[in-house]
This record gives sequence, structure tokens and C-alpha cells, in this order.
Amino acid sequence: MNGNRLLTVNNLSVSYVMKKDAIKAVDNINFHIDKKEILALVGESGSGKSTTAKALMRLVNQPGRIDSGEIIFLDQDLLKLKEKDMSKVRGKEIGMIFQNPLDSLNPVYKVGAQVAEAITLDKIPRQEAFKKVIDIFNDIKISDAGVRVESYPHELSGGMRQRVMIGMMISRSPKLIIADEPTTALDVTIQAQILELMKNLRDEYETSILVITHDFGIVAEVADRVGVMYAGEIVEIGDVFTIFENPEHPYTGLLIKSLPRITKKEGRLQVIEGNVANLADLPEGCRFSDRCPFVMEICHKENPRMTERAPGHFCACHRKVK
Amino acid sequence: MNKSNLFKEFIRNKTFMLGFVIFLSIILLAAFADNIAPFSYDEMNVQNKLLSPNEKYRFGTDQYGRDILSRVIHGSRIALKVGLIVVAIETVIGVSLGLVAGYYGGKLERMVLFFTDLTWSLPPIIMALAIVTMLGPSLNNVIIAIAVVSWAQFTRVVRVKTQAIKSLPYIEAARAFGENDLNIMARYILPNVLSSIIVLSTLALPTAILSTTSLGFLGLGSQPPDPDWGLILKEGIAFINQAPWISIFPGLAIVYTVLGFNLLGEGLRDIMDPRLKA
Amino acid sequence: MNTFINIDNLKKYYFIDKGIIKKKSYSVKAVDGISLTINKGETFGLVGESGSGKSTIARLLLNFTKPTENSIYFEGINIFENDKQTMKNLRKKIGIVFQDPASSLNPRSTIYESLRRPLEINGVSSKETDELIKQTIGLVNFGEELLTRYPHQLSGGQQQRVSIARSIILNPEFLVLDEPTSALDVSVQSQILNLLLDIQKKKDITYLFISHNLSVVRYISDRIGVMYLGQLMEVGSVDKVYRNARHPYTVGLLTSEPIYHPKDRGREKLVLDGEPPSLMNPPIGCRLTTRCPYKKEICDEENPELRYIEQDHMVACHFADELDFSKYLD
Repeated sequence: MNGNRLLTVNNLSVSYVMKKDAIKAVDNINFHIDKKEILALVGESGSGKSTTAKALMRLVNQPGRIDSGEIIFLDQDLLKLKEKDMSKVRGKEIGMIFQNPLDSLNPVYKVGAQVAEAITLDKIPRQEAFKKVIDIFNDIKISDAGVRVESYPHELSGGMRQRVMIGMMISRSPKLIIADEPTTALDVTIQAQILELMKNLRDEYETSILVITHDFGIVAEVADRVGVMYAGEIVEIGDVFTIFENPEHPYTGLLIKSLPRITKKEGRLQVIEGNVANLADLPEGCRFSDRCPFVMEICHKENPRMTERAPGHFCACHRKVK
Repeated sequence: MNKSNLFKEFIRNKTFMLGFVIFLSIILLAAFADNIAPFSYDEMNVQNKLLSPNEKYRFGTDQYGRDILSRVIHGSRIALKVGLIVVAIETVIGVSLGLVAGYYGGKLERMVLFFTDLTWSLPPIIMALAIVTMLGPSLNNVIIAIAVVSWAQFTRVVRVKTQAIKSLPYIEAARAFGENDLNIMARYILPNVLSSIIVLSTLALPTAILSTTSLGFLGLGSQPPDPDWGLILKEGIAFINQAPWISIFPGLAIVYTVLGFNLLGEGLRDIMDPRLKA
Repeated sequence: MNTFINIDNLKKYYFIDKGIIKKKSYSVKAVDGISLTINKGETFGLVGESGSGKSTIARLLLNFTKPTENSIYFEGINIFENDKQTMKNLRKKIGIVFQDPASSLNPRSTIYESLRRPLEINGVSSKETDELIKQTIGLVNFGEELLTRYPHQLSGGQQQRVSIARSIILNPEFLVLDEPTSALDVSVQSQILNLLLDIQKKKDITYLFISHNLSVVRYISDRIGVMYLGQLMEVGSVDKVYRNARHPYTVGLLTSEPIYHPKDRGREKLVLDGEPPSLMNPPIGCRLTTRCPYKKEICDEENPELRYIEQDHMVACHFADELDFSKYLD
């Protein structure tokens, strides 16, 4: 086992069961995260990226269920742990940041107290915990830390709350943080600050981060490696520069190209035809076949498997780019 | 809301189905009272007075020899009619005020809230009593009295839902292409609060019936010889030792009907608008 | 002076009373002196973060709310001082598209119904209605077979197409688009943007495109205005503002924007520290003083006016002529 490896996911599948149908939100995905690395999982709605994040923390609720697979964190398969052991992993080893920090902050307690509460879980006495909170707040550049610890969540702005969330999550020095659309609800200038903060976490706290996002700009900004998801599968994964320079999967290429970076005088935007995949009604063979500009006969018959195109660069597509 | 799925949900809900069966039975009883009842409700036969239940008179007779079974059956018409009219009036008043208060806000809302809170906090039966005493005892006055004290529940729910809906983009879009306020309330907001209104109305039915029979029991509603269940019950109290069946059977009818409508309403609520469970 | 749309020193304050025992009145200065003109046929992009006031401008343009001071003129007519008939005619000429496609349509009406209603109110005959609806959905690439569906049965992209169809069905001259693509998936976003351009060509509609997304605004606009805390910081043609941005806030926005390629990671960023102050208590001088790395004393005292620094390019900054942002802008 690679000494640098933090997390390995093998053949993970997650379904949502409604009455008689089961919809596979995540279908047999494989990926890994190393220490001190930021992996971005990028995709649109229905891609399965959020479900993947929840599955890693075993927070998939009814009607969802994890069908199969292994989630090997350091040396343990998280899926084989008893719930009480898993709850020790959450927060301490793996932390999670959500899109809307209000979801995770208790409105009736001051934020300082909430973060301190998390710290005391590691048997650190309250006085010390409070001091640590102020240190953390300063580290992650929460201005006027001494005042902020006495604030209630609703008294803080969105960006500030997100920082508090991050502070709470790193207070126990987890090895991995899962950030599910952490900046979607924030303004651009605040987003830039949070992304910078995430890079610092990786460098100074040596925390790995799994970023779930729909925004390729965020991927370009912070990711070391990126996995592209479509309709419950990972269609391409590799290091960020390779993916941007030589995307092999048509979906990846089109997504990157459809970001507006020109003015209308320079032409029309690149478009991906059709609608985002409907998990209840997927095409035969490759799931992207009904929208792919390079579709071939075999694409309608067989769902392509992941193959290694270059060291560390995997892609699931029948088309082989030279 | 897929129509066939909705239908299946209704059938599956036991509460609803039981309530529906009872509801149906009352309607059939009321509709075909003339055919089902063995006698007319005011047919007096003094030789047969105060007979206990037997083959000819299944529920026994009262002090005038009238068949209790027939009177109870015919009474279902009154109960149903009264219940439906009361609820109809309550709904119209309550929903209109709720829409207007929620949509316009400001002074209008404050006024409506004032009356809503007033009506809500005073005990309805006492209020209704006061009104009927002022207007004089008759079934119509009882109907008015009960309706007037019971609309507040509609207003409260509709007002809050209206406030939530009125700031949604599709309402603003409608204003943008020229819809006036009345149309917005009627065509856009009302249909979207309809499911809650249906549930509330159905749940208000048993209360309405109970309230009117209570007032009837006090002699303030229907007047003799109408086969109003509350009235029959009242008349039977004087003979409670010799002929308890005179009061028992209309009492059972009331319980049966009110229970049935409650089940119907609760079943509907569970399916259509579980958030009303407060 | 008959420009198409003229906004003249517009102000919109919301008044809030706080406190139970001792009531204190606060005013939220959502729009605090906005002046701009929109020319017929162009797309004006309005950019800003939350609290900038851009959505308030949209609501004022549609007359959903009245201004506190001054006015907006549409083809010379003051849109707030009108009798019912004039207002009704005006409403036919201005349309709106909202951000959230799902809540933009009446959940209880079929798509056909939603499109029919605006025509019915404005006196279009039923024969013409049917044709007009089919024509309009053709323009937005919406299938005829979907007309009998309800909104929840459609995807986000399809819902937004319907929303757009509804907004153009009365042949408006002006369309306000308030974050029309922000709630859509990326792949659908570009479809809708292309669609908007096609429609604009075919129907000759003037657009006000409001967004927080700089690259989308750059793509679709002819001229843009950058708003912050209820005021305009910079206005001008798209080329001039993006290539030669002269306001620290604009530059801060541009450099904070996520990049297109990881190789740009090392770029110079103009960092705007901290967060925007409260709209109830904005700085007295320039709005950016609490965050601007270039601020000097005069900035605290005097709120700079918008002035020309070149043709078709205005900036509200005391030091617009002196500051050099070339290291930030490519």
C-alpha cells in the first residue's frame, strides 16, 4: 500500500429506492486521494457527486442506501465499521463542510462555544479549548477573533460563517475534509478568500481536501487532481493540468469549452446538446451517447470502461484520442 | 401531482377509506331518506308511545309514538345540510379574509388579524349562544352563528400561505404582464392553497355538525317537530329513565357522523397537506 | 433627451424600525444614487455581488416597488407617475426573466396556460393566441408536445425556456433578466445564453442582464455597470471596462473570479480584505473605503462621482487616473 495514500474508494455504488424502482445515483466508481492533496469531483446535477460525498461519511439517509464497495481510509474499510466506530471517525479523522453553513451551526449557541465543544471531544479541558478556538480563528483569518467567538451564527455574514465552519472542522485536525459546494452561496470576492484558505489548509495543516463542485473555475483554482462525473459514473480522472490541457472524454472537453470566456463578437458559446441525464431514463451503452458529438456505433451498445491513457490519467470512452 | 398515483394513495390510507365509507353512508341515507325510513318523521301514533326497540319500531318510539329510526334517518338530511352550509360560509369568509390580509399586508392585514384573534380566542359555543340569543332561535340563525365564529382557522392558514406565495417569481411575472390584484389572488394564489383549504373544510364539518347539534340540544336551533338530532336528544332527556332509546340513538348517530367526518378529514390531511398537523 | 431608458440619480431606501422599548429607525440604502442610460438595441450588463442593489434596480424597473427619490424614464415617460392605461401599455413593453426557473411558473397551470394568460389579458384573440404560442415556443426551442405538461415535469433548462417564452410573447421592447442562468447547470447555461442572443437579433429587444458572474456578463453585454453597496463604481463598454478596468473594486472582482486554466493560478490578485459593510451603515465617503488597498484620507471624506476617463468609460474613484492596474489585467 502506497505510504502516501489516504483514501481509496473501490467499486462504490449508491442507490435511492422509491417504492419499486431503485435509481443508481452512484454506479461503481473508483478513485483515491493521497495525503496533502486536493481532489475535485466535478459534475452537474444528477452526476452523483454529492451522494459520493455523503457516502464517504456514511451519511446516506433513507431512501438512499450504499449497495456495494469499499471505502478504505488509511487501513480501515469505513463501510465495515460499526456505527459507533464510524461516529468516532467523523469529525476527528474526516470533516465535512456544507454549502450552507447555517445547516451545521446551531443558531442558539455562540460560535466560539460550538467550536470549543468540538475540541473538547478530544478530552481537552474547556479553558484550553477556548484558547485554541481563538488561535484557530486567527489562523484562518477571522478578523477580531476575540469578538467573533461571542457572536451567534445569524450575526455573521455568509463568508464568516463558512470560515467558522471550517474552523470547527479543522479544530480536531482531521486528515481529510470533504467540502460539498463550499462556496456556491458566497460572493465572488469571498469565494476567492475561502479558496485561498483551502490551499493553506492543505499546505500548513497538511489536510487533504475533497472538493465537490459544478464549477470548473474552482477546479482550476485549487485542485491538484480532478474527477469528472456524469450520470453516476466517473468518466475521467487525472491531474488538473492534464485534464485541462488534454481532456480525453468529450464531456470534459465540452464542459471546459462551454465556460464563457469570450465576448459575443468573438462567436457563439460551445454548447452541449440535449438535457442533463435523467437517471431514471438512461440511454443504452454509454450514458453520454445521446449528447456526444463523437458518438460511434459501439457507444450505443457498450458502456465503456475506465482505461489508463497516461500515468495517473484515466478515461472511460470508446474513442481513443491519438 | 400525478393523478393516478394520488388515487392510489387515497385508497391505501385506511383512515381516509373508513371516513369515506361513513361519509358515503350518511349521504346515501340523506339522499334516500324517504325510501329507507319505514315511517315519516312526524307520523304520530299515540297508542304506540314510548315503546322499546322492537321489530316494527327498530329504534323504539318517543312520547308521541313517532318512530325513532325514521326520525334519525331523516335527521341526517338536516345534519348534512347544516354542516355543509356552515362550512361553506366559514370557508368563503375565512379564505377571502386570509387572501386579502396576506396579499395586501399593512393596515388591512392588521384589521383582519384583530378580528381573527378576537374570534379565535373567545370560546365559540358561548359566542354562538350569544348570537342566537340575539337573533332568536331557529336553524338558520344557528347556521349563521356557528359560521361567524369559526372562520378564523381558514384565515390563519391562508394568510400565511399567501404571504409565502406572493413573493414568488411567478406572481411577479404575472404582475409584469398586467394581471390585477384580484386575478392574482383568485387565479394564482388560491389554486395553490386549495389543498389546504379542502383539508380544513373537511375537518371543519364534524365540528360544525357537533356545534349545531349542541345548540339544537339547547333548543336554540331547529324547532319541533323537525328531526334534528340535537333536538331529538333533548326531547329524550325528559324520558331518560323510562325510554333511554329516544336520546341514545340520535346520540349514536351524532357520534357516528362526527367520527366519520373526522377520519375523512384526517386521511385527506395526511395525504394532501401533512404540514397542517399542528 | 430621449434615450431608451434613463435612470437619473435613483434612490431606494427601505426603512426599518428596530427595538421594542426605544424605537430606532434605520434606512437600508439599497440603491443610493444610480444614474445610467441604456440605449435601444443594446445589452447592458449589471454586475455586482449580494447587497449591491442590482436586484432592487430590476424591481424598480418593473414598477414592483416605488423609488424613494427620483425616477426612471422609459422612452421619455416616467414609469412611476402614470394612469392605469399608460401603465398597462408600459407593461406590455417591458418583460422580466427570473433566476429560479422552478418558481417562475405557476405550479398549478400547464405550460400552455402560462403562455396563454398574458395574451388573454392583453386582448389577443383565441385564434391568434394559439399561433402566437406555437411561434414563440419555436423561438425558444421548446417542444410543442410539452405544452400540456406542468412545470414540475420539466427540467430546469426547459422551465427557463418557458419563462423566456412568456417574457417575449407580448413582443416587449425591453427585457430585464435577473440572473437568468445562475440556477442552471453549466451545459444548459450556454444553450440559454446563445438562445438569448438569437432572440435579441430576431426580435430587436433591449436587454438589461443582471448577474454576479463576470464571464457571463462579458459574453453577452455591450456595455456594463459595476455596482457595489447601492452605487455604481464603473460604467462603460465591455471592452474598455474589462481590458482597462480603472476601479479597484472592478479589478478586485476580475482577479477574484475563478480562472479558466490552472496555469493562471499564480496571477496577481487585487485583494479586497474583509467583507462589505452593512447597507444600514455604509461609509460616508467612498463605499469601498473599508476594503480598498489604495484608500487615502479624501476617500473617507468625499464620495467620488462617476466621471469620464475616456470615451464610453466612467469611473467613480478619486485616483482613477493615477492607479496602474496593468499587472492585474493580463
